[in-house]
Amino acid sequence: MTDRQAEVDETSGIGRRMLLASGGALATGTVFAGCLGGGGGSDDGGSDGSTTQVAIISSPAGFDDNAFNDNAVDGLEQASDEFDLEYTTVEETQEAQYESVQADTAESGYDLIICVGDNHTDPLSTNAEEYPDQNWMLINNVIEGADNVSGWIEMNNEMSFLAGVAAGVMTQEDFEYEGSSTDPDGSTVGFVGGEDIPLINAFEQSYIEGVEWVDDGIEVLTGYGGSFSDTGAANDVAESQIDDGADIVWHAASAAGGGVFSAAQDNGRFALGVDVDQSVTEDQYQDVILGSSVKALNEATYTVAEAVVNGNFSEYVGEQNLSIAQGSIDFVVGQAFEGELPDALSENIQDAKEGFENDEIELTCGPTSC
Amino acid sequence: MTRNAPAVRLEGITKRFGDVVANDAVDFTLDQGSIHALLGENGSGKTTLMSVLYGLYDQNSGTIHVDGEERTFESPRDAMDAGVGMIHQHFQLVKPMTVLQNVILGHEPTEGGTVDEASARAEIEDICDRYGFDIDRELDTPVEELDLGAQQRVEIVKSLYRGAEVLILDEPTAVLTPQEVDGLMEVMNDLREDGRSLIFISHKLDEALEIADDITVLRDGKAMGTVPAAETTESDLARMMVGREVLFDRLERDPGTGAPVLEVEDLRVSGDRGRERVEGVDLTVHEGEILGIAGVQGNGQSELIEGITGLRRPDDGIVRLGGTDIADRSRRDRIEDGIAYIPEDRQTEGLVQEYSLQRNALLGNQTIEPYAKNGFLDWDAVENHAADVIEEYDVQPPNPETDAESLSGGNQQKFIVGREIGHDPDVLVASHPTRGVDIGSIEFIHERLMELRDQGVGILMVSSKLEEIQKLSDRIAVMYEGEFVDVVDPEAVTESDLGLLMAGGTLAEGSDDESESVDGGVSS
Amino acid sequence: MSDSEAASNGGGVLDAVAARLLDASVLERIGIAVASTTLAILIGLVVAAATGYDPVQFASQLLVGAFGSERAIARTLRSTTLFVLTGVAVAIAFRAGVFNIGVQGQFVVGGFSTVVSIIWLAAFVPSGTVGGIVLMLSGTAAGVVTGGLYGALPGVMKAYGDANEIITTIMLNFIATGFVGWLVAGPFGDPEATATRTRRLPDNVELPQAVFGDPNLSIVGILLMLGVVALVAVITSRTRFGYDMVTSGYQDTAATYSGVDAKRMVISTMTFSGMVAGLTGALFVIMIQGYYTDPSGIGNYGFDAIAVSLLAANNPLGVLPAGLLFGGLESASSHVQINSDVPVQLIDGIVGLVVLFVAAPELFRMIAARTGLGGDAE
Repeated sequence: MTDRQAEVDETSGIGRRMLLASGGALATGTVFAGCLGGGGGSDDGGSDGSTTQVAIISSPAGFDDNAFNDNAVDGLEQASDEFDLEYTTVEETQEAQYESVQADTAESGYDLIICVGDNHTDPLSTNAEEYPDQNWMLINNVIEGADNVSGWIEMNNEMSFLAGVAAGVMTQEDFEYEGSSTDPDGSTVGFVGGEDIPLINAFEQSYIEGVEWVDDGIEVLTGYGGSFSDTGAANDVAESQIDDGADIVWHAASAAGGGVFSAAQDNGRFALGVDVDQSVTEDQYQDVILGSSVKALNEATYTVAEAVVNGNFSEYVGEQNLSIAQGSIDFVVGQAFEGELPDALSENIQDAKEGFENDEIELTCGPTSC
Repeated sequence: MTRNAPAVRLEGITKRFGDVVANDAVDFTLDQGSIHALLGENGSGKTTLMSVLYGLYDQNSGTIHVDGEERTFESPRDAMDAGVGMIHQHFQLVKPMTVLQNVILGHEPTEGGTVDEASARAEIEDICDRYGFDIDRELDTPVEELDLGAQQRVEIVKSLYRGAEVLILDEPTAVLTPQEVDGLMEVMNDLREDGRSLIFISHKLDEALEIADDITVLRDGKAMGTVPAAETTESDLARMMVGREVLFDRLERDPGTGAPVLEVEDLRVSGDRGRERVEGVDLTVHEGEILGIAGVQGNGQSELIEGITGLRRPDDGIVRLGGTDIADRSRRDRIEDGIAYIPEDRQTEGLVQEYSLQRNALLGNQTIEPYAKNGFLDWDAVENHAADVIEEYDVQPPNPETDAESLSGGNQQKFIVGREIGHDPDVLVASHPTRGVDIGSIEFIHERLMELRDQGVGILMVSSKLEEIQKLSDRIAVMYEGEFVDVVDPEAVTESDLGLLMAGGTLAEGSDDESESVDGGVSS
Repeated sequence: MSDSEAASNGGGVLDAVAARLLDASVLERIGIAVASTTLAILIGLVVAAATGYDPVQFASQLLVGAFGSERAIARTLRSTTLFVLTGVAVAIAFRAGVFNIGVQGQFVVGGFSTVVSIIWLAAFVPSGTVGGIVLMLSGTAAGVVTGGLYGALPGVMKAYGDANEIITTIMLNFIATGFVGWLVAGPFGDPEATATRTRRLPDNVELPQAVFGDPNLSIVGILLMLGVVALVAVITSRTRFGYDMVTSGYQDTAATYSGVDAKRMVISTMTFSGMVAGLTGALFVIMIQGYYTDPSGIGNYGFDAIAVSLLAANNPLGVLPAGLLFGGLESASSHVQINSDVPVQLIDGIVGLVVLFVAAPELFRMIAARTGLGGDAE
């Protein structure tokens, strides 16, 4: 899931900070009260014996989104288990406050400040200059020319491509599971987007290219529900695609994706998940979620946190990618289907991944737009 | 129960609301099978005393005996169970429900979990037969379609259906036509003959004298005494109520012969639901004249007045003020043109309850100099105006900072009258100028209206009180179903003549024909 | 006893409570507001203590976070400006008895049209300070006009279509958020930006900073806030329009009697309220944001403003301390998140309690006044 999608989710949010920001802050609580004192981060992170302090500022969707923001926090949670590191979550849902919140956080002397989401880009280009000794990590964009910002771009296009490969393989298989089956006679797959915007158009195009990489005779039906939260609209689109012969449907519709899963479940077809292993997060649909295309943001935050602990943050300054080559984009098999799926799937996924690692596959679209 | 004990005996009832003593050690005894009138001005504590008896309020001290047994009523249900029923001034009926449903509401006879309508119907018809109520034909009619007199009979039947032996009627005649009042008196008489005991709350002396066996007068929360109706007079009672001598004489009449100041031609005005309520009225008010409009409420008087004062836009017709047609002018324009208006409802229209008197003095005068200039307000000027009105009209308490809601009805009304006639209006429209006002204030307001008339102002007055209409008017127009049925000389008609006209009848020769047309008009 | 009697009996208690609240004087209401706020904070501290945090330290964090440094004060004033202005917008409508729940939407369309008009006009206006002032004035005018029109719309629907303004304004909030969100993502999106936002305002569109050197707080914003409060206070207390408006709010029948045209009053009130909301939107984009983004991420000032206004008993002057309280708590919550391990939800909880103790009774009071509960006992 992308921050754009998560942000849209927020429209339905009632409380700006409905739940506890993150269990992490409390779990690792310990002595962390009061100002941390000045000093700013040391030049290169560098653990000079003291505990490394990390702050993470949310995207407008806020924490507890079961996706993006939480995924980033997971990496820190893991890092705090393994290193002498503590982290603080700072939830800020108003984009207009980012400049101020980033600066306030920088004033508090953290060794690393992680800014989740593209919305942080403009304020951070100011603050990275304003606080040149502060280590920053920006997720979903880069700050050109800044030597203190580690900018991470998620290769959504690669992720979508893998989903396309999985769909392309499976529609050609004759596969049955608990009342659902593929259509052996046809080879048609579906794609349901949330809002019809450039970001999701890039998902769509990359998915199509993944399908066609398997076999360009496969037909891809695409459509948009018009919303990242309206499951009913996504359901309608998926239903009509299934009526028209699609037996595997993938979505890039954030929370509205549940409508796609229920369409597959109601019609005895299959679906694929996005961003995280949705057979776990949406486990009521695990009997139709063959697998999910995932991106491991937690590995990125873990990697950068570790670098700060070890004093080699500078290695990660500049543009970094969450990519197949980095091992942080992958396709995972749904929890109900482990060991059930045909070998052709894993073989093709493996081939595709190797294709990316060796720069053999070229995509039309970039990670956020075409 | 002890048959010889009084039906109700209240001893030393005291009820306080905060610092206000509404009832101060009141004793009251209702004999079995009698009608006892509870008389007093508004705010004298009549309703409070009865609410204590009916279980709506807890008394601070004092005891209640019903049929000789001491009782404490936690709620009206307790009172009802002890056989005490109350007919409130504002009917407690569910408007869209039928008569039958209203009567049995909360006391539905059930059989196997369903309402046994048949037995209820039989019982209600029985009650109606016994007392000659005509509503048994209307049992399946929604209450909202009945006129007020019939709704009141539904209330009475409801109490009887629940076995009330003691009936409290709170100002039951306030909403009725003279003919309907007569009908009510008959019903009360029948109930008394049947052995039931009635408490009749009123501030009308003549009614109390006519129907009651005993009369108790309340003033300022204290019982001023109980007298047998046969041994007292109106002026005795008035003295007890007001605490001083009250004049009942008619004021001097001066049939206006001045120039026409307000002329209305073929005026048509629709009511809230779009139905035409004023169906072509012509009238002329001359300088120095009071034109009284008599009529049963709901015959278009309100709409007529609103059409003249600008609160309602007439559908058709001419309203001429000093020769200029103002029918298309807004309410605000007409205020500026010189039409003053004492509104029908002082609580919701004439005053903003939460405003101080000072702020209320501006109401309606927002655009008039010296209170407003170029859109800005001059509060000093408003304050002076408020102080003048309070002084001249003896408004109590004499404090411009007091909120309007804390004033008694009479003082509120005096303030409105003062405010409205304080600007030398050309025309004053007065709607029920003394409704709900105590006797002392009524006199005062009447005097002011007469003064204004003598100064040459044309006054158009609507009132449901016939004695007021007769006392003040130079001419009386009677309105019935949206039209003027007649314009009469007040000296030449009696109250019952007016009642007849109000019911749609005519003042023809031969009384038999008349009474028939009355029946046709009144009972819905 | 009939059900209706039972109802009127049960209503007696409600009536009494309502009457008590209706009778509360201005001083009493200030007392209630202060006491409730104190109580809400005390409860917050008790909860903090009960969950294992040092309440003294939490309290000091609140103070430090709101007023403890120049940064904190600037942050507090920044939020306060928005809370006060939107609060005034709500108060205007509530004063007149019109329930404008749509301030958020008016704030959004106002801010958006300010951005769009400035960016459009920038091509015709010379750069430099004078050009910047021209752009800001015309952009603000655009925001005020758009906000006013967006407020007038539900006013017209209420006046001539008898459409309940609570429902229409809530719906118009959704429409504003959705439609502006679509415009920002699509037709008006910055083709060069990766995030969903419009192009930035030109560099010369910038207000002079306040004493604190915070780039997102200007002395002009603070003066504007004070000016609007003073203006609205004068209008409501010293002008015929204000008297008409407030009278309509207290008792519409009396207002009609006094010559107020009820339909026009509803429309002008909603327009006035929307204009102030639109002005807030303009200030927000010029002073703080610098561009427009998806409205779902610009905060809930227009909704919080309802609580601010109720806390202030819908008095424009009272909105100042109420807005400062909300601004201070918002600012403190940001500080507490960054600098302590006390969960920020505690502060949200305190805000919630303030609303519950003060705003909810005030809302009840208004409803009671409207429905006649606790009214004339006779």
